Amino acid sequence: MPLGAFKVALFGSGSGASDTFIAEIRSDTSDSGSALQRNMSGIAVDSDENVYIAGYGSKAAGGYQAWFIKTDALFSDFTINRVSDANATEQGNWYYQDLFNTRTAGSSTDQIWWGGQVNNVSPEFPRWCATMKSDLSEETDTFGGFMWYLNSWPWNNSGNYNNEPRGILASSDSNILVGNSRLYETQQSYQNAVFNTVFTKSSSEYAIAYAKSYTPGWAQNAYTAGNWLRATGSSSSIWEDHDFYFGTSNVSYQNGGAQLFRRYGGGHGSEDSHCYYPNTGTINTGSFQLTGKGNYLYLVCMNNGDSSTHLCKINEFGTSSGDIVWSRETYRTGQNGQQGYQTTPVIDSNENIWQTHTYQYAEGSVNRMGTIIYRYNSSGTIDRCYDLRQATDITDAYNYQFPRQLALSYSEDILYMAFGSYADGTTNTGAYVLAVKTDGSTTGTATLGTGSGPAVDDTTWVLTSDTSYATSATSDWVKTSTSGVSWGSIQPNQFQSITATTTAKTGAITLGAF
Amino acid sequence: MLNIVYMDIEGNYPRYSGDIQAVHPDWNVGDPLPDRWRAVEVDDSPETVVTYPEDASDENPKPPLTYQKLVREAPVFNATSGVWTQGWSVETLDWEAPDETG
Repeated sequence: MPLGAFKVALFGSGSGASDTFIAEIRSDTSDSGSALQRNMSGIAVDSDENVYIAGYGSKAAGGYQAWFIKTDALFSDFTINRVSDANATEQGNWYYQDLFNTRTAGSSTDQIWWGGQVNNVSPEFPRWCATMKSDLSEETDTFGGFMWYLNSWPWNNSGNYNNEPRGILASSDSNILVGNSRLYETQQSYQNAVFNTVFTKSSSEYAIAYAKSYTPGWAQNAYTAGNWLRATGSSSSIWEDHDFYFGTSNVSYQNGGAQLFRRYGGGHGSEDSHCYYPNTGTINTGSFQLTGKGNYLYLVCMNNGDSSTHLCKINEFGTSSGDIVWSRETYRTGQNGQQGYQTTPVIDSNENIWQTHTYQYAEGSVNRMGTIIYRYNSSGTIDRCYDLRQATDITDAYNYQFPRQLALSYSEDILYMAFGSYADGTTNTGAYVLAVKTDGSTTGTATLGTGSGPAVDDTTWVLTSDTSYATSATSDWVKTSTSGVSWGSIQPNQFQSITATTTAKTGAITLGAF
Repeated sequence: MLNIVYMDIEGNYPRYSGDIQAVHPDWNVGDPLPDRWRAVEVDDSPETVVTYPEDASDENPKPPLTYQKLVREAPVFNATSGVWTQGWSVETLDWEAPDETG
């Protein structure tokens, strides 16, 4: 059973029920401060079905305590040793974002990659990423990694919004990594810009090899739309083996669409780009998430302007010019407002696409939030839909939910969702993991907590499975040429790497129902 | 490269290759279209422009004055060429600082 040693609250009963659960994770270590702010960051599964979960919570001494779980072992209290700077052994505030699993070609060992941001390491504003060894059994196990930051005027601040940075993507051979950052500057143009960075492996070290920026102009804001590394099938060179897709959006250009940029071919290669957007109303505070598998890109747009969530399946740029294959718009049937949060989709080996988003619904005199998790088949038809709500004994409308990341088990029979929630009718934030069967069979009620432990704990979750809960329709997506947008080439020497090692030690954690 | 989208047999537009394949699984891009489906050539979209006050500069950065949105026009059939095409119009809007995402 995943998360084997921990107690969890099960959905339903009978055969197989142990595989479908909800768990609350409490980083209540001796160093914890308020137990009321627990943040979920990401989840991944390796080929041995180990489940990796990451998050952070507040510390008594201030700042945040990052934690990391491999199935039943906790690693927390990460310390960043910036070995390139003798004056600095600093533990900053670590903000995770997403975990990714990759298996190095020809190796039996999986690697779990994550990315994120470190604060409190002034004057730089780095993003960091790290690779973790699969065997995390030793108390003083070392997590290899590195950090990088943009060493170029006028960038003097960092953003930490939505998917920015969104973890670090690694190619299947681990020869290429790609990450992004979003930086703000108050020295010249008061703009938010996006920087995409590629790292290549030399021996055992990674170095910045290529970067691409988007700077929107005076007083404007750009947002990352995600990255993707696509294996081309070549085995000629690092640069020919993968296409690099970068996304960015800016509400002022091309209807707020996402500009997708591809770098391909040998050397530093050739470049092309297209722009995509759902053509329904004005995209206001639209948030795009790019991912892909095989020959297809998948682009999600959550548009708070009209409370809509869209998914577009796109051909890879090389052979079919990035044409749209199909596009859909999805609502929770009966929703009455803002959807709020979504995750990057995950795609299984049959090209089914799992996606999730939150929604608002009315219950009596209050509006409450729920989460639907649904699956499109390869043709764009919804054939699974789970609906997750909190029990009505929590009557306060303050029950926002924050899905962070989806992950499929290696055998693809279980779907995991890492998410946060205002679970007790206040802004106290709990960190949760949900596991459901991909065949749609999981349903039931699961109660976490007895009220005797630290808040947040009194939570009853209700999970139902019914495809009629998701209303889906063909969505008018537009593919246009990228215009009015200037992609800048950032020279590698404008970035600076910080060689860093991270260490972690085991600690106490509470997980489950008691 | 020519950007082709489709109109289904009921006149719904736009539709894409996957929508055709959902009804006609054996159809592939490049094959003759199934009966009563139509291909529409989409014109390249015009550039959209953001305008700033004339006195804005790096030393005096100011928010934009206007920005532009693209509007998809209805497909039209050219009887001479036998081709459906779709153009674009541009709508200029006053700048209102878009909400921050995140």
